[in-house]
Amino acid sequence: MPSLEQQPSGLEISKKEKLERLEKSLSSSERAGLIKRWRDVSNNSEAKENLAAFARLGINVGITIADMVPGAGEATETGLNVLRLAGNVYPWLREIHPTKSLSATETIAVQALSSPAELASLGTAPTYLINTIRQTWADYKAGNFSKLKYVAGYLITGDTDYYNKLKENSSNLDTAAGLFKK
Amino acid sequence: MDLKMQKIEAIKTLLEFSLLFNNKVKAEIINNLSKFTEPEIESLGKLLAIEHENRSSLDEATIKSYIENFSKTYGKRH
Repeated sequence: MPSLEQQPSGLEISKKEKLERLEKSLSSSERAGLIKRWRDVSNNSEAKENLAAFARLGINVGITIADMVPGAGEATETGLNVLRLAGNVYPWLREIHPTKSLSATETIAVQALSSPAELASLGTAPTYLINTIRQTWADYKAGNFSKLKYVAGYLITGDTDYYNKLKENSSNLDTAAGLFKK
Repeated sequence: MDLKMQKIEAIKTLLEFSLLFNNKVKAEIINNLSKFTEPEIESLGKLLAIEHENRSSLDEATIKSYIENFSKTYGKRH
């Protein structure tokens, strides 16, 4: 029998039970596979960069749409430029910035040069589109979208793992299939 | 290892990478492989071998007919 010190408290027991129940339910369902696949992707820097590029694209498209709202777009763009400048001091800010591949000078210049268009359209011109296109192009050139379909496919079906394992085991499978060829 | 055992092991290997059955059915087949007759092992093996050799261009109709034939013979006994 465990000593009193070894016995977990009531709170710990309920937490433990909850975890056990969760583990049981997860191991008996497809979600376990999804969590595992998500961990695999998180541990792969290339896959992570592909997902980040996709997220950047989504965020930038969102900001471009928001830029059509007078005032809101300009405020967001100015805020992002401030963050981009701060990124020169705090590198982690640059890493999470939606236009991380563009310099602060570039993004500020885009905002300044597009000001006449913003004024003429009363703030409805989606001038942030320039940044979106430039960042997307930079990600594309860097190959940050090249593995996206494999990452997405792996997350959804586990296929990337399947095909890799299939490749590794091709000779074993050939031998096994050979037994039934006659 | 006799030929039947070799074929059973080969089926297990092929089943691991087969997309014809879900994991539950695969486990069911593996658990009952020892109860399969020679013709059943042969037909299941051939089915999986065909799948392996034609992964890129599976003829669904052929595969379906093999599955139906296998289900008929296996179903009659169980």
